[in-house]
Amino acid sequence: MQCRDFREIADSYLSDELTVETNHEVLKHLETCAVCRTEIGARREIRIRLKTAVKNDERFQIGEGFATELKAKLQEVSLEEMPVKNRTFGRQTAWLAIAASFLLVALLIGVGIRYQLRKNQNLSSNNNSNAIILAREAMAHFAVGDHKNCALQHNLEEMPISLSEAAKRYDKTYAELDKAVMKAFDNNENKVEFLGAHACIFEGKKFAHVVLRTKGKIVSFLVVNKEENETNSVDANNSTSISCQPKDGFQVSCFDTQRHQVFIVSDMSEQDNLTIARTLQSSIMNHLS
Amino acid sequence: MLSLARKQEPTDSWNDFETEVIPFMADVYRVAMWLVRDKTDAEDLVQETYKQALLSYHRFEKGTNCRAWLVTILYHTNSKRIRSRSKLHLVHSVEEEIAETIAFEPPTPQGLTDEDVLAALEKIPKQFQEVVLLCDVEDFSYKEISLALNVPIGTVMSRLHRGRRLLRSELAAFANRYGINKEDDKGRESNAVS
Repeated sequence: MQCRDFREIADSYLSDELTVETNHEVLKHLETCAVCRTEIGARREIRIRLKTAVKNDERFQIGEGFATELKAKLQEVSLEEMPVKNRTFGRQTAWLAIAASFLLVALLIGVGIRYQLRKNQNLSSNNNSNAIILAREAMAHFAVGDHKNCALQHNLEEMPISLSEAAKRYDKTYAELDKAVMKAFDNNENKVEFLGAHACIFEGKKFAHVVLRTKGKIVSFLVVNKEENETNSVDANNSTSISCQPKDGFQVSCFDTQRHQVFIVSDMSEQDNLTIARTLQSSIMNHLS
Repeated sequence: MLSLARKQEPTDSWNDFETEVIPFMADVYRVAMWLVRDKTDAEDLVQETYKQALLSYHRFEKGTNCRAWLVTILYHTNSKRIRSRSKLHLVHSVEEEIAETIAFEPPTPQGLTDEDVLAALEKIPKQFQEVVLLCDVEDFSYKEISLALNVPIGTVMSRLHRGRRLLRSELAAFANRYGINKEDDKGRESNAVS
């Protein structure tokens, strides 16, 4: 990071509005740059001064007499005009109705996808590949959601856990998955940077998640156990195909192992995203088998 | 027929209002005073805001930010007052242009007083003042400011960015006038070029 870049984001750093990665870069820069350390100190001081200056300025202090008088007037008005509040059922009932509607829609979609999948399977055994695509399609939505919420916005509802903890709780193959991922890039001509690894949950789906950066883009490597995917009733043992599709503004590449689905999600080009999936496929299949 | 909902008595509602909303009167007055810059106008505005808050308190969701809710009502009330006084509202795009054209941003000066900082804030255009005040002094989030001012969140962010830059430029002018940080600035500027 250059001093110029730092100055652009210094205020966001003070307001704690930066992503974890950018925050880390700022801290790294501050460790080595005395000029920017002075600058951030000065900006912090201005904020404190501004706050105390406004709050202590007599012009901005409410008059005690006015506050007491207004409170008395409001109390008087409250007896005649203040609408009473329904304590429990009003808003809660509305939320329950909305939640029930969502549940019903989700149920119908689930039944629809199951029906569609079964129909496809019954048509012919050759339709196995269609079923693989459908299963991938169903989970790709969650993979993209996890990439956006976890890797890009750091906005997950539940705290992620370490891969070693996830190995104990969900799937033993998740242990050291990050090492297997980085090993695959040992001889890669493009630099692939490791940003973090953990297991996280998005809309009830448990993912092992390795976050990488290459060519200036954030890339999510996501593994999900097929048991998580209700639509996944196909055996993809012999399938080494990698599918690639745009979804919700991102590129998603996917391949299967015996028990897992693996997704690569990024906003790189289709070709670049696919290249990463190809680089990872064999070593990840070995690790997860 | 029996109603499932237990209705509150008016006195219960007042007690809740008194505990939850009244304590923020000084904060609301501070923002009102900043907006209208006149004691009588500010008191009228706070009175109107609190009356509106009292009448719509049944719609306030407990657990949400009450201060932000009050400031949103304050801004809406103020907008209504402005509209009723004049049908024409001019947006000072020239001020926006000024904020865009700060060619060089000097290092942030140190050693200034509270009064200097306040005077510098009062020198920048009003639409930038209010976002800096709401964010850096009153600690509201971008989303809360966006709701209060009824502008998109992106506008809040860009005004805040430009407002803080303008504030730093004003402060640098103060510092130069007093001769503060002269030696320090030389070193910092030469480093900043690198």
